[in-house]
Amino acid sequence: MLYTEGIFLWLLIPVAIILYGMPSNLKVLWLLIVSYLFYATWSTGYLVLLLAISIVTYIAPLLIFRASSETYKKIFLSLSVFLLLLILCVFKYFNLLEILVENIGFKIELPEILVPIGISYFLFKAISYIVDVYWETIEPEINPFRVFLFLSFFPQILSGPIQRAPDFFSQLRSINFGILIWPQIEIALGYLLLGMFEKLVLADHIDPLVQELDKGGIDNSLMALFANYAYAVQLFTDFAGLTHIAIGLGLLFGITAPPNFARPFGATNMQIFWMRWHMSLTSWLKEYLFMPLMMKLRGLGMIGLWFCILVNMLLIGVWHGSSLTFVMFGLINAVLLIITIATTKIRNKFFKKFNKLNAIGNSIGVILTFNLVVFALTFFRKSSISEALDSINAVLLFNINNNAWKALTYDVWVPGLMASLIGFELGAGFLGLYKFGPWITNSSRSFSFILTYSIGAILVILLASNGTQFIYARF
Amino acid sequence: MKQIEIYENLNIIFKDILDINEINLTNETTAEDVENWDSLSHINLIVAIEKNFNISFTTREAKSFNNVGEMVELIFTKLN
Repeated sequence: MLYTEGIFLWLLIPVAIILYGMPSNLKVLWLLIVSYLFYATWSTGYLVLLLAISIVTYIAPLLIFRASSETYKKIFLSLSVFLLLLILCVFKYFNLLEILVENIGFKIELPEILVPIGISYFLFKAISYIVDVYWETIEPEINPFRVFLFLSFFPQILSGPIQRAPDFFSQLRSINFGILIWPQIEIALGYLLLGMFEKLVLADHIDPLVQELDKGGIDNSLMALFANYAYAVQLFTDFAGLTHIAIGLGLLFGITAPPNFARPFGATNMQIFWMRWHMSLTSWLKEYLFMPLMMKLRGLGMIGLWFCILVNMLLIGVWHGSSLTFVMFGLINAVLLIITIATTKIRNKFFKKFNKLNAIGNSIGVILTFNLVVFALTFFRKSSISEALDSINAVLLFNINNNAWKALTYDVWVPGLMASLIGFELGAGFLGLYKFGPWITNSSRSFSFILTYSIGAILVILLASNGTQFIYARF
Repeated sequence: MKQIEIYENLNIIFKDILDINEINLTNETTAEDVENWDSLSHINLIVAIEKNFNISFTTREAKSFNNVGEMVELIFTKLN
């Protein structure tokens, strides 16, 4: 079942009303049952897998916490995390095995396996919880239903955001959990509407424009460039839409999820961009991969840092899939990040000395960063390296066949362009409906807020039946 | 080494690593109060502190500090 389906939205109402009305000791169990039913609409077979993973995630932290020595703690940690990573790799990268064997010269027939929906999200949650207990950030949760709900909470299971255990459990324990609070419901509905608007009105109308621009791009370099620009906005609106729906749904049931985006298109360099794009994933990787690895390699200085960035970005790449294009996406971002970090001191010194140039520097930074992101996303988008290179070539050839423009029909480019512009503005300036944390100062976009939402409301109603699959539901 | 000496040492290290002119660390100072103290420079600080006091931190210790006071406390116990 998709979040944008009519039946899903109708079912939310009774689910929420029952939750608000029931005794507080049953609320977790109720949400758990609903979450499992929701997951079962995708696959009953994989519900068993989710249950098995949940049991491991419940037991491992208890074993770590009660272990008599550091050695035992380490053994329980390593075994459980290894097992979870193994499950992730088997399901996500199983098809690589066939290709590998074929390259050696053998041919084997492996059964086709479907990736369980949401697996990379709930496994990352599970790993972070186990490591948090090992690091003594939190004590293990005794109530198994809370742990099970942490992994399966239906607003977050399809595509995150990847919430952390301390945050989630403390909200479950709060007296406000699962209680009818009108101001919170208003914010929740705002997020739902924003998310639907971003997905159904923006992303789904940029999509046909990208396809048409791609066709024209063969003869016209400007069209090829615009196709890549529009895709960046499409990806943002698609995923930000999905995230905002997830946040809104969570809020309806009393859970505030972490944000995934904070003005990524307003970033003045690549380092800032990656602190603002898919934040729940990047902060997860920073906490559980990058920092521990940096601590291990801290004696190596710069080389250690560069290596850690490379590993981190390659993992962000292959987290999306096993294709070489994702490896390339990670590699390009690693190189760009290393350059950014290596030049930080020089840039800071320069702008301290010539502080009048700050505004110009920032403007150039935003434009440059957006173009670098678009460049890297070319590999993310295309299904093979050669296709991506063709697409970059198409931009660099400076073809100017104006007939290609004429092939663009009115009903594609008008909604597509409008949606791209609004999507870009949301990605560059919109800060969220209410304060989430210190990195979000406040929202000054009341005009565009009112405008986009009132138009949004009408369009969502008109277009709701045409929803297509979310891009990020694949990962 | 007394706690006050640890603070004096830390002030010098922080100024050098974070590239700032003036700093006065107290036991309540946190990363948010200090310019340029992000997760990357945190690792650099850890390395410099380890070298300066000739001690070593585990990953768990390095990420456990909530403020400078806790950091000084741990350095103090490691030294004595």
